[in-house]
Amino acid sequence: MDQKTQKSFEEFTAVIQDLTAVVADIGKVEDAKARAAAEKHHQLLDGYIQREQAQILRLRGLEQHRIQLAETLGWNSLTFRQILERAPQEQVQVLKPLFVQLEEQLQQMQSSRKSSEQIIQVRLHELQVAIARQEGSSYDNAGNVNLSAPLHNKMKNTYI
Amino acid sequence: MVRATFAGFTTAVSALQANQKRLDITGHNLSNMNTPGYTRQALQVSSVNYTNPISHYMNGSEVAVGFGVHMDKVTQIRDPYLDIQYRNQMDKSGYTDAMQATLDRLSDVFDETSIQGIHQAFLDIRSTLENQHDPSKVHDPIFEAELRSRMQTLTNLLNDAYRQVEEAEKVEYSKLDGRGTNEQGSVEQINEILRQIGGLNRQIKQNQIFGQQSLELMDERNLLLDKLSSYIPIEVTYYKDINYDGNDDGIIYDYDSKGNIIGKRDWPDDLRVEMVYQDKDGNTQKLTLVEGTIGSKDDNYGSVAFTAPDGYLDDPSKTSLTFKGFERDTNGNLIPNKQSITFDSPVFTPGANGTTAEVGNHFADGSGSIQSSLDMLWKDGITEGITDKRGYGYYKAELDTLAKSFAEVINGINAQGTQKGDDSVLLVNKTDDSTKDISAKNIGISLGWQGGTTHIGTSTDRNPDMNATVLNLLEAMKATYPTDSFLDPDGNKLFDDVDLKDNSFADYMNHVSTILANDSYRNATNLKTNVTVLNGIQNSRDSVSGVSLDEEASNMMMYMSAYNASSRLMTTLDQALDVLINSTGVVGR
Repeated sequence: MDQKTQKSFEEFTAVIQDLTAVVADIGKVEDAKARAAAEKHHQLLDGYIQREQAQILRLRGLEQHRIQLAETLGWNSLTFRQILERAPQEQVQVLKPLFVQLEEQLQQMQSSRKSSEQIIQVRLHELQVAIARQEGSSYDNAGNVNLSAPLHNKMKNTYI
Repeated sequence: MVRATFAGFTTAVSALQANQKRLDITGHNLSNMNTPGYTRQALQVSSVNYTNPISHYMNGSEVAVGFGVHMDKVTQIRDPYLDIQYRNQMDKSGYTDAMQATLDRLSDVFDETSIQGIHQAFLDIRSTLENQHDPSKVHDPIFEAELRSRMQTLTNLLNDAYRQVEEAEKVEYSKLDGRGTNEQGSVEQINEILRQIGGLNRQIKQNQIFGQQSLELMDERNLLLDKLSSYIPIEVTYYKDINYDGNDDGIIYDYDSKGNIIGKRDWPDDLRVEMVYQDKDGNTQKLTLVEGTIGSKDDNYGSVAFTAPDGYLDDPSKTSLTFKGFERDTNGNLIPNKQSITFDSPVFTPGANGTTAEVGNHFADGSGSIQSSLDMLWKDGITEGITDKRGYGYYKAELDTLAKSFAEVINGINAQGTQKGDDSVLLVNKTDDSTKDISAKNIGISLGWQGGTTHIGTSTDRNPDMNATVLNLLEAMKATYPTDSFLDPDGNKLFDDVDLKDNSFADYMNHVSTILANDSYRNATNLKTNVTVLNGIQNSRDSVSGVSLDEEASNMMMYMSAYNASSRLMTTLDQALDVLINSTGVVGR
């Protein structure tokens, strides 16, 4: 491996490590968001979202850098699995644990994100229902607000 | 049209009856405040009017007034959206909860922070070798006996650790298959839940057709659905069976003897439970486990069983489940005969780049306690295709790697220090006293070393120093693997295939327990979040469906006032009638 390739490879591994750290941090923020929404500490959400946005910007920057380095190393548009199949053995030994760690953190982050999205959706639904009650609307079985139909628990005329 | 003389009384009676019923329901709600699964009830009412238009002959100034209130039915106050969210979250929590129990069991084996375990046994061997390396002690049988004893302790610990992992694996399997234990397994519990839901479907529908709401039975069914969702991911749908009376209007009519409609009711809903899973290509599929009230008796619900009738206690990693239920054709119509869907253990295929594994039907990642058990039983975390979860296979493989590598290195070094032709094997596969297929389960001290016919090598042509073998063994205990430190007399690298991921023997146990601790930490974080979110949704659901003391108390006062007002209306009507009968047209009497 020439010096330039070696430098790019080292940079590439550093970027993967940084990506792992950022993804882990986003996962933690998602966890915190989920707990804040579940425990109705809504005032905390704004701060978490701002922190998350900053991390997402960093993630995008790192991802761009990763793509550039992958191109330099001849791994343009390759998945991690394809890289492991094509890279020399000594590089695979370095990369494999890094990819595993990144994948684990991504799974963790996705799980946390699903939880936070779910509880935030529940809170939004509560708001919709509260608004619908005030405005005389209703919601269907899927939880969609139907603005034209009356609420089921309102009195209605029945002809017998 | 002339108003009936006593029409107002009917109105007042209907109001009295409705408010009385509301008070009864409030009392019922309050008395069931702490009943598990109870859903708050409310009276659904409607205003009573004429169906016929105002009479052609009636006085134009007449205004149509209704005849009071009609009690339609007692309803449950539930929010279907929250039920869906709750059950989605239940299956996530079920997964992480079951996974945590599994990881805790494994921690009992690998967490050596408070016990003298395998890590310490390696350090003890190293310490003994440090004491023995003096040339004057190399021949001393006391020191060799001490080293043998230390090795024996280590091999026993490795055997024991492997046995404990196997035990934990069998406990995991027993969670699915309760046979041989005093608890029901998950498979049996799912079948019991499906049977009960199938039965309740029939009972509820039958009651509702005859006008009984069966709300308590619906609560029972909802509780069962919640419980089922912790085992497997499900979707619950309410639908109307359109074949009830030929009219697809969702209404049933009561007729008098002349065929006139005298009443109408909603046709009761049927309930469908679908299991959501993924096929081998990752596409989402559904299998209907409960289909309303179709057929007779047990026809309306499916089941789950182990694919092999005797189960898989002998090899839990081969566990395979078969779900029976209803599928739909391409047009979405139900196929009446129950179909079988099998969740088989992964298929391993050797290839040029190593073995790969393919998982067939399975539940989505993190969905339900059944998938948690299957993940731990099926996935070894090493083979390509099943690396996403480190199950029992992973920990058994790590112990095997450690045992095999250790035996290879110790035997290899001793062979270098032993005269050619002499027996040099110290560590063996106990089952046949050979070096073939040494694993954590079978590693032991060779019969030769135990019987005093095999010894630690002292010198050979290849290695003339008396203490060279002990020094090499000491070096081997300190080395990290893979290593270039050991060469044969021809200069070839020894122990080329020993790879402990840059750890020494002693540190390898720490490496494995750190991986386990990381998995456990991540899962514990997920569990904490999942339970917090579940509680959040539960609270939200309780705020809709649960009984609120404040709300019921305020309702009670409101209904009592309405009851008083209705009573007062009756008194007033009585007074009006008195005026009409006794005081009207009496002038000149």
